Amino acid sequence: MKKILLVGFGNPFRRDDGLGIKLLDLIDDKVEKLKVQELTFDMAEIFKDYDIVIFIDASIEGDEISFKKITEEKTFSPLTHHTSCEELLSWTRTLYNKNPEFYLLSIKGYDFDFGEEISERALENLKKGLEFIKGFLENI
Amino acid sequence: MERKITISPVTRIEGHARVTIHLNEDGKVEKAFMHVDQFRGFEKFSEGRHFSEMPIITPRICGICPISHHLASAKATDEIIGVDIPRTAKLLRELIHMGQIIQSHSMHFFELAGPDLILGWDADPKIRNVVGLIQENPQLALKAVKLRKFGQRIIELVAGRRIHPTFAVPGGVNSALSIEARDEILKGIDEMIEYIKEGIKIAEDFIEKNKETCDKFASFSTGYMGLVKEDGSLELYDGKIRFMDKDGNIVKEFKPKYYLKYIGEKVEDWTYLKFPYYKPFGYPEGVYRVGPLARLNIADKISTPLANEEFKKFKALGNGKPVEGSIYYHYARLIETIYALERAREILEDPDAMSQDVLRLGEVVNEEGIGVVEAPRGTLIHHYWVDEKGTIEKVNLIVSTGHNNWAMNKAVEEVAKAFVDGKNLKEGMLNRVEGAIRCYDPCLSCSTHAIGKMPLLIELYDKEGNLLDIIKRD
Repeated sequence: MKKILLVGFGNPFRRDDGLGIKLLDLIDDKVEKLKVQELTFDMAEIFKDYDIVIFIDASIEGDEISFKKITEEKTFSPLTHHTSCEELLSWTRTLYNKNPEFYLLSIKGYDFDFGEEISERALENLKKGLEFIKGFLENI
Repeated sequence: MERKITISPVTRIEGHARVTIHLNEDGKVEKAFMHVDQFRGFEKFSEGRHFSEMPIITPRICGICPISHHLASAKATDEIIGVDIPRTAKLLRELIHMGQIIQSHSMHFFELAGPDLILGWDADPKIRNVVGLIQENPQLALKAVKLRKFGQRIIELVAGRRIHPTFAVPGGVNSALSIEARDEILKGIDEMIEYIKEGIKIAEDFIEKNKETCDKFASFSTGYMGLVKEDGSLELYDGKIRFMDKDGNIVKEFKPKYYLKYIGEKVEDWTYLKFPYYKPFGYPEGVYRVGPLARLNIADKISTPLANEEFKKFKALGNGKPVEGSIYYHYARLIETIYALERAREILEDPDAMSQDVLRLGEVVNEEGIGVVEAPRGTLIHHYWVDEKGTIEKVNLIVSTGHNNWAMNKAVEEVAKAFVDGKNLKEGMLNRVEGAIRCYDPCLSCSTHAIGKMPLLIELYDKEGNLLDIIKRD
């Protein structure tokens, strides 16, 4: 049985930026979940113990929902504290010699102003994202 | 022909910086600016909320230093209810603050500063990353992860959650420390101190080999501001605000609640971020720096032994004057991390830390509350105005990145003038400009993190706005 972790990230006080966090609230508690505001390099230490890590984040561009497998990128964030999914995969592989599969579900948002409510259009996308994740988990 | 270079590491939609470098006809730098989108929206967002919610709301400003906002906010709410919180609550709040300092400083040094110091300014971006670091120093990255995790673990064990805890409340904290938590933290401190000593060795080696660069790179005169204890030693959670002039003279010490009397904020039309200054000196004469370099410049000593030994070496760099080179922020950050580890041990060995007396309840008695802490990046001020029911009417936040705004702009300009050749742009030039900003560890990734990645760009424009050249880093 594969060990799976869902990672929702974003800021729930910035409306649609909280889509990743919100989706985790709607997912069955039997699945292991991690809610964070942003990704940092030290999380490699957590991810190394899973077979599959699925990141869920809001997107400001692209389709209503999109899903992709993450490929490693040996990048360097020059100024920000945020670590990308691609960079985290690099940390996990290089530091721990582990090779979990990383996936990213992006859910398109429209309103990133201050506030806690998800916009109506983003809520529709959230439903689609939820159904997608449920289906994905069932088929693993 | 006037030309403009734009460095735009805009990886998200807000809360980030953009650097523009303006060239003259000869390709030399005329002037440079760092533009920052500030998160003033959080102040408006808070209006109408109950003051007791603020320690929960404001940490959402930042995913890296939420504890600093949590504690500054809690201190402001203590004032609103007019309560002197129990000593145990102060100790436990300070303890999670030490966890915050450890995780934030170690992340910055090993992830952001490390590639500059270990691999060099001119290293190929393709190797200036974790793989490059591991090739150069195989165990260092693992230790960086463990250090950050240790800081996070302190917060988790004491406050229940490692990010955005609800631990500090008006009047104290909501739970006492368990023996198991105390013992687990104590057990790890010596190992973490050894890790940080390795970082200090890296910094000291770099300084020794590059002394002239360290003394000249983004080096300029400013005032310095931060908290100190009553005896003038380094303080991160409480104490009085000390202001030092550019020559190293202590010109004022005042209680944090009087900050408005001494700190003004200048507005410029090209950036959302204001420019704080020391009012008695006016602007720009009163500009100052905060954060690790400033804190060590203003302090007379450090109250813990290992950190104080390093502090003496730091002070020697200035020969009796303030240490001005921006690179020394990295060194100061490591010294503070040792202090945070030693101070965490002191707190945990204090019998009062285990007391169950952690909360004083109270009603709204004051219309204002001001809370100040030294966040990893510098002095953080939360100021709330409330009505008689405790509803927030107005909020003023001055964050450390704001205090350092003038200095970061000055650093960018100094480095751009020294290293950027508009006729022959190279990667290393861009990295040096970024490196100047990295010294200050600005919190630029604070608010929204929706994916919408944009590359790092340098763009060359003529004065009519035509794009002449572009350098792109994915």
